[in-house]
Amino acid sequence: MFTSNTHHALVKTAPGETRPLTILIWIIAGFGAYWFLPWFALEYGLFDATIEEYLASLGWKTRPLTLTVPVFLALFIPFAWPWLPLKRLGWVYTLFASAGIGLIFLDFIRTGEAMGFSAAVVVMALAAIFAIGIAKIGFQRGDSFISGAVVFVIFMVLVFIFYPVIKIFNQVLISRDGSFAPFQFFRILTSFGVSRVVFNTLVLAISVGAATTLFGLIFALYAVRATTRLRYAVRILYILPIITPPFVVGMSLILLFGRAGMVNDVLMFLFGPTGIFTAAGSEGIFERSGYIYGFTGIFLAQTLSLTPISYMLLSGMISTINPSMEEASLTMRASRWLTLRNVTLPLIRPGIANAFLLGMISSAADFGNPLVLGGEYDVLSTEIYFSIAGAQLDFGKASTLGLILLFLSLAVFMIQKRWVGQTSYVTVTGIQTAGNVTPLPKRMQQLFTVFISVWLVLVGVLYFSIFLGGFVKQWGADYSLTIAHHRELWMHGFASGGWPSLKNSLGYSFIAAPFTTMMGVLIAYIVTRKQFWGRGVIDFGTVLIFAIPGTVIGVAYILAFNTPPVELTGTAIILIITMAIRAMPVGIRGGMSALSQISPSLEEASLLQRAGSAKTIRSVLMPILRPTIVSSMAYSFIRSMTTVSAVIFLATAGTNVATTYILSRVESGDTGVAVAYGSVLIFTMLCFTFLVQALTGRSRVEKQVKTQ
Amino acid sequence: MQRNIITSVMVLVLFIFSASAWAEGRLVVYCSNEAFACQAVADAFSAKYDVKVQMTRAGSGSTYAKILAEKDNPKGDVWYAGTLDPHSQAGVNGLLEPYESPMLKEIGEKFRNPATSKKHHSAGVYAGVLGYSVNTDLLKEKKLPMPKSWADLTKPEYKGLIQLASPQSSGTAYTTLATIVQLQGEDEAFVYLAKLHKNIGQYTKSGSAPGKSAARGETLIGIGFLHDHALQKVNGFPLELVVPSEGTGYEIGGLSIIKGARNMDNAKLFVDFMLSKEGQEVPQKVKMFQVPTNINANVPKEAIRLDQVNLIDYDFVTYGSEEMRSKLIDRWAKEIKPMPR
Repeated sequence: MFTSNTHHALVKTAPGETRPLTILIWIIAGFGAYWFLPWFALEYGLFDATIEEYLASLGWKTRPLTLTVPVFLALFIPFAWPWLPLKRLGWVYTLFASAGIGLIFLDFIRTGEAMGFSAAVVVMALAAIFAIGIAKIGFQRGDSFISGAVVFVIFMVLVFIFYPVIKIFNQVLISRDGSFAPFQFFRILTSFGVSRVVFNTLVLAISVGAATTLFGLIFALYAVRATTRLRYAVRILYILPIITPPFVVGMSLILLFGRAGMVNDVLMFLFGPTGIFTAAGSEGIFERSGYIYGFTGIFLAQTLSLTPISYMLLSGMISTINPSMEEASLTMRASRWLTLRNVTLPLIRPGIANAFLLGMISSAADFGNPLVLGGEYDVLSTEIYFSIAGAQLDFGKASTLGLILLFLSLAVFMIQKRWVGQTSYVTVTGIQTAGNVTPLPKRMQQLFTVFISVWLVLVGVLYFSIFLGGFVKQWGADYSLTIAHHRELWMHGFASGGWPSLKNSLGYSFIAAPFTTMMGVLIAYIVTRKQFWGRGVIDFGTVLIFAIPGTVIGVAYILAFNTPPVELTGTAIILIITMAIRAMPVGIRGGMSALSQISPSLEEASLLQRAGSAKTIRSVLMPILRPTIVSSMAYSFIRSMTTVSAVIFLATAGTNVATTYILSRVESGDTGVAVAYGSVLIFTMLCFTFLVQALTGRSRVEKQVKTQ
Repeated sequence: MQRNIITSVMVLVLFIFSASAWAEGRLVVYCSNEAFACQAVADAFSAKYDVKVQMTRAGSGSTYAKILAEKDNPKGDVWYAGTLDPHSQAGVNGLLEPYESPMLKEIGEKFRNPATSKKHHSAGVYAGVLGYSVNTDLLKEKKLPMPKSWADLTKPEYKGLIQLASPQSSGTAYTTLATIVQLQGEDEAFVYLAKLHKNIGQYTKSGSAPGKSAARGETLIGIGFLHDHALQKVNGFPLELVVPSEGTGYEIGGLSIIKGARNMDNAKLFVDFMLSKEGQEVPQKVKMFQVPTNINANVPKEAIRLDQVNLIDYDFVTYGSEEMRSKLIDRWAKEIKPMPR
């Protein structure tokens, strides 16, 4: 019958609709992958395999059954040309593609083999055809790019977020000897020591949250409102703790305040039993002790590391307050102090609450500092680690504690979203509105100047000791200078010492950064602009991404990806994915806040002129979003370089990264080498930050973190 | 231009593939010794047999966890070093491949089949004596007497000056715990541990940390395996190694083949190598002073020889079992750890 549908092929395709060529390309890609790439996972990875191993893993050579795959793909070819009515074609694509994906997965699960590159590509091709199918049915009004994006995002969220978390739940229900134990969760929960650990974690989190908020406020007020030169120092130096791997701050505290620390040496010299201020014969008022280990040390280290983040949050808020409110207050003869207390602070109250909650979550999730400085103050993240890496392996306990930590984090995050959600996405670009900025009350400014100077001196000494420590033979015993540590790390050839882990860190972070940004912006786009079925999945998935602590991800990924069909542990891929997931919140938030500033009418205009979604995004949105993309990539790179809690379980000999290498040297007691490496890392990150700043004219890191 | 690029890429890819085809075979070693000793052993084996060795270094607890997690799809081939107890547990839980190496005839009697299962799952590749080391400079500074026994450590003058690892995270500390229990009986042992607890300055996470702390002067006395401490002494730190007079325990370093190893032949070759005189002398070259179990191997003079000290008859079978370990560690965590100091 001559309906308009049969003339479809002759009619120019509507914008956003898939050309036959696209479908053919996907089919060819699947075909090519099947013939040339390994169907089963290579034991030692692509670059380490021998020729025999590679040939043995090709599907058509070893498993005739898999020849059904190219046959199946070939079936799609006639359907590429739309000679069926549109909707029916869509159903054909959808059903056959999903059947194909399902069969492939089932086959791998049945045989217990792990999927290889070609299996992955074929699944991707089928998923693309699936997406094209549902677009033709009417999903997203026929826009196959968006439907492809949605399918891709949902797939990633399901496989890399939901599946591992479900595995953790699963593990909680299985006891140590493998039997089903539904009440194990409660047994572990009420077992000895767990309540103490939870209590410890909460106490630490609340105190650190309070401290970072208070100090961040002080810094923010000072940096924006003070009239001294010092405020420039604050604006430059705040970045240091962000680019430092978290536990390096902890290590430097040990170098200074540990039993053999420099400060203790000085104090012993002055006040110890043989000190110059001690009366002859008396015991002196100072004795070496490990006061830095435990709550004190962790509190100090976390406060020092996390205050810059709350500073950035609050300074952004303060600099966007409309000054006219305060001016009004001042003209009514209120003192500066009264103005500050009754006008300014209430205006930034949501920011204060936000900073407090953020500080809490960051403290609870922190792993590096409690590990290095904890002494006997056990917190959840270290307990989880030792349930796996300690003297007695207990996946059930690790999973239970992991779930507790996850719930804690989710609870805080939900509070943050409900209570202060509005202000999370406010533009904070530091645009000054008209009016004079009210300076701080005089007394307060003097007080702050003293405080901040002390703080900056302390931070300066800490970083100095990190750089110095790399050149000292044996800190605490032998202060002679030596390059032995650096020589061990860097001068024994590129395959030994610190080079493999440094190369890996740089490489993985480099690969993860664009991936993070792309996914983040994509998620931000479809969440802010589009309505669709399955949106709830993505929403909750992103909440999980934001809230999940690093150690929990590490454990979850070990449990989920150590067995077929998706076997990724021990590979570089899983590390890249972990890093990408850890840094994704920034990409998503950045994308969301940037997109909320852009009026939808721009895209509508483009779509009206028959450019598809892909072209619209590419030509209209990307250029506007470029600053966001650059900052997101920069921050993602930095975050990936300094992450430790998630990767500690996943890094292996072949895929070691800088942070785990440093940690293993710390655990062996080789502080000299560890600190030397840490200083090189910091230096690398500084260079990187300056490079980005030089290229883009502004410190991009600052903009991204503010919107966190 | 493009054709040149494509050609060179293809050549590169081909080269990469063929390069890996050159090695005789491969071996994945999970090593639980000190990093430098692990590297030396890997290099020596790789050089001698032209095998590509991929080595991971992790504590014995972590390695056991990894092997357990990978049991359906083992990635490692052989587990070298680390205290015997986790090896024993792995054997009992069916994670290891039994292998009776022809080299066993050169190994001392009690190291041939020491693990709980008694099925040749693991062999003893080194031994290390438990004891403590004292920083002599600090001792002089504080004008304290040199302790000589376990009982001496509970004297009040050493308050806050002793470091021991936590049994919850360290196999070394667990061996200490088990030694005291075998010396005195379980309940008396916990009375002793409570007294010792008052003198402990810090429970460290890692087993070799107390020795390093004592070397650096961060603590006076560090309890641990003396071969770690011997290394510090050789490096010039003012340490005196003490073997407690009542008798002491020792650890056996395990050497096991993982069940389902992908490179089984090379794994067996590695076991043979590490049980031979040549293999056992490799760690000594990098100043690892564990006592070799091969009767023909040279015993380094810095090592504490087993026949020269008063050793208890450490029951690896009983004290290596999972139930006993959990029982003792949990009891320690419940009774000793929370006590005030």
